[in-house]
Amino acid sequence: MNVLRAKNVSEAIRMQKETNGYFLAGGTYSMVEINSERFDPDCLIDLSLCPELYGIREEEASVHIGALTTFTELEKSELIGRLFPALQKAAAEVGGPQVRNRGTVGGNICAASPAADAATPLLALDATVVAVGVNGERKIPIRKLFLAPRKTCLTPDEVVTEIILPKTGSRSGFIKVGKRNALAVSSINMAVSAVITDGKLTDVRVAAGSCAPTPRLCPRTAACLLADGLNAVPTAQEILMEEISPIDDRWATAEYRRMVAKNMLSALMQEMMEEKA
Amino acid sequence: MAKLIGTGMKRVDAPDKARGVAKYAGDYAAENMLHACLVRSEHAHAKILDIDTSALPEGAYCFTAKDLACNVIPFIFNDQPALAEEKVRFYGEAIAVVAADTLEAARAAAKTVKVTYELLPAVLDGEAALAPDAEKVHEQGNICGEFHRGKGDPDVAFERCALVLEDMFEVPPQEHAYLEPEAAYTYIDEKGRLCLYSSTQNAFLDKTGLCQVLGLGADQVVSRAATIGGGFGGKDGHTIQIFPAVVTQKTGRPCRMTFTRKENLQASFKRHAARAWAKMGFDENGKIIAFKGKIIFDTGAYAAYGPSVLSLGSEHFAGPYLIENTQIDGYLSYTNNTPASAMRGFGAPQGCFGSEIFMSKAARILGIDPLEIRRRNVLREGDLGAIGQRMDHSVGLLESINKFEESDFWKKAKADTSGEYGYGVAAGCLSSGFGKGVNDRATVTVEKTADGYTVYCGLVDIGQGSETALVMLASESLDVEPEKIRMVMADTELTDDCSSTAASRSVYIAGNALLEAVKEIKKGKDKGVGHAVFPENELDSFGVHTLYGFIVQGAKVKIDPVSGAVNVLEVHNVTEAGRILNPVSVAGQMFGGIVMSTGYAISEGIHYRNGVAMEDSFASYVIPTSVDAPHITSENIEAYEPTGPYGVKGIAEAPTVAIAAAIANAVMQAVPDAHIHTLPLDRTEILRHYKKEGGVR
Repeated sequence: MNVLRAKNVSEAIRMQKETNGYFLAGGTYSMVEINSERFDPDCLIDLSLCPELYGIREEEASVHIGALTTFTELEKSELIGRLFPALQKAAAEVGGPQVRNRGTVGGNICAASPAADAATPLLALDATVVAVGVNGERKIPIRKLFLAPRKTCLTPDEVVTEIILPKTGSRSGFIKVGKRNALAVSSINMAVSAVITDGKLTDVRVAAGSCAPTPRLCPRTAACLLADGLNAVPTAQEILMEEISPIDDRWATAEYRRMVAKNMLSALMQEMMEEKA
Repeated sequence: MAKLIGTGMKRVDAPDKARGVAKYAGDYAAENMLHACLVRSEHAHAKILDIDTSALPEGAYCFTAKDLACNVIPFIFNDQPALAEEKVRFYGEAIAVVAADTLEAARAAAKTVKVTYELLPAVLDGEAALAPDAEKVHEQGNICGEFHRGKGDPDVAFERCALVLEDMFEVPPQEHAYLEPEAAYTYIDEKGRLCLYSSTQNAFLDKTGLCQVLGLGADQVVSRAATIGGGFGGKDGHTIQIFPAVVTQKTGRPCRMTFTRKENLQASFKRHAARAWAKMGFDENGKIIAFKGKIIFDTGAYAAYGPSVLSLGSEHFAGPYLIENTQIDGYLSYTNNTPASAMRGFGAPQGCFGSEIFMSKAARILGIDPLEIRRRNVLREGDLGAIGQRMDHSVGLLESINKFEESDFWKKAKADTSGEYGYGVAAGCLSSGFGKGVNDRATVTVEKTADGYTVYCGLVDIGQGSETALVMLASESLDVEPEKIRMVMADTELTDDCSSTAASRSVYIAGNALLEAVKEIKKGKDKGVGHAVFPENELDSFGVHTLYGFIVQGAKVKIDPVSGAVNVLEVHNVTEAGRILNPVSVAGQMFGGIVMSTGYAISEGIHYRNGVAMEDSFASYVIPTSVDAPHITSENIEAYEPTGPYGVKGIAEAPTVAIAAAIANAVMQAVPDAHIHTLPLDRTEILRHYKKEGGVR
């Protein structure tokens, strides 16, 4: 296996075209797959020297998160904590400290695990993924990114450069349930974001992970909550059951996932409605 | 005058381990060394039609059953081949050993070996395996062992009980999860002998295995234990030793093999999965009147230590209580699951899970304090246990319960009216020694040297601290500084066979032999050879034990209302282990056993799909991390075992016996309506019955 190191994104794209290689971010997914012989690429293109992929930048209406931002950086960012608590909480619950020091938000969504911890908050926060490839730049709403387990709409030459989160003034929350309290794969996770004006919901998004082939938004659940807030939770829970399609696997049973998904929705709504504006 | 006994003397092996200079089997290397790996079965049950090695690359070696002098691993039942020949009986069973100059080359070469199978229906459930029409794992059928003992007449006695509890309990296979996977290194020494360094709990049994399988004489093999990174029973017997040895025997070159974690999880020994049916009857005062239990242990494809696990597990099934009427029926079944063998607790945790749940359930129903109901039933010195074994030794259960009751943990638990937490207790005992009729002895030699003494002992320090304990005993008895004692352990050339480092026996049996040897030195000799034999009771029958350590444990839990997860916040432990030789070491054993069994209670377990373990890494086989482990406190009661060295008893396994039940009992206090009868504790069932207002407090 060859490993190339790109000095900038355009070089990375060129290298990919020449080698048909795979991009490497933090390696917390790819290296495990390679070492366990489930993934055997001829060529890896390391992105860690590309300066354009780093940093968290605040603009007037949005926040731009470089694709190679680590979970530790997200967890420690005052800005992320203030504007996007769901993302901060998700970052803080990824793996353990070593994994959070290496794992990146861009790598997490590109790996497209149904259990990706960053995916659900980014879905709930209406993120836009910026990808650059041979044919230039694309802005992809994250709800369109995931196609199937381990499969995104990105072409092999496209590098995710940053993730843009709109500043909507929303409150947001995230809950993850794994088999233990650290170093755990999500058996199920959920993020909710809501804009609350004078106690009334004006914009709600609910995203769930590990209970469908991809992390996904649950728009009908959100619409139900939008109409009637906390009172709508019991109805919204039933709608949620129609919007997710969990399976039995080694992380949890479908029945368990359904029970926990309901509890997560009510806990997150409770938490957000009780939070002081 | 005791100087060291009762002190927390530092571990003698700690500096080398901390500095990374301790040499594990996988650290050995030589210039022309071969690396080896296995061709393993891809099916749980199949006939082997052909093993095609024609595509093997140049420079690689492949050895199969045909290359062995005798394809039987010496064990209790001699039912396991070193390399599968006619058929495979579990997924991952070794079929061929492949060796090459590098590990990568060996692995690539192994992939060129093509095995052709004819699939057979797989037997995947320990209970279903016992059906008369079940597919046979071995020709003689699937019943690997039976155990039937009892006393009095439980069926009649149940008639006069105020309360009878009855339920089925189910527990999964558990992995030992030692840090160091199985590893071995072999070479030919200058005398032409085949020498083995391995990660093992019994260097002498390894030598027997090598001699038998490779057809070598006793003077042609030397077996030594390397530094061991944990055993917990899983490295007692053949795991890997024979594989590099056959390579060295055939090629003359040194050879090393280390299992990957995946191989370890999918194909190495496990704690037996079990299904148990228990019936327990009480009078209105909480006195146990009768116990009837049936337990089926799934030993997987081969017996290994299964027959002994069946016996010990059945012996401990009813708990540490005085019961007049008992009937215990145990079965050991062959299946096509991964072979199960010894694991810390050796069958006791499986049965005690149910009986200790019943003790707390009865207390709740009868309105008796959970410690009090246990106090009313304790075994005392001179009593007969559930299968008639005499408690002819130090029996400190009552004192342990009393001490536990005085603990801050229990006082706080009693005073807590918040309803936020669940509290549960459990008590247990675990035998020490192999049991009646099994050759349980040790020979230890002490030699005077220019600047101190050398102690020769055939047992292994597998991380439990026996080396330090023996240094303490030698130092104390010889009245010299511990620095003057040099230990030589587990070397078939230099030490005597003391059998397995197992059964919570090392310090007791080797300590006694050591003190005998010291007596010779004190008579003025330069060399003392001491022998010790484990005591037996006249009354007892085969396999039954005569010496037990006791524990009482309590757990404080909090149920996560969203997930039903059981967070074990605190555990308090009280131990009776005779006189405590080293309280730091004992606390280490208690802490380790508690964390190990907290995992058993809340998250561990192997699930098989068509005989393939789905848990194939530490991502999916979920042991507790530091944030999952409870805060643990541990106390010992002052006791003295007259037959032990300086009054000591073995206690390494006891902490695993009852803690899962203590945690389950705590969960049932928080969620009283949940039907808790399986491990790991069923979050779905807990959630189904969880009410925000909390439990009964």
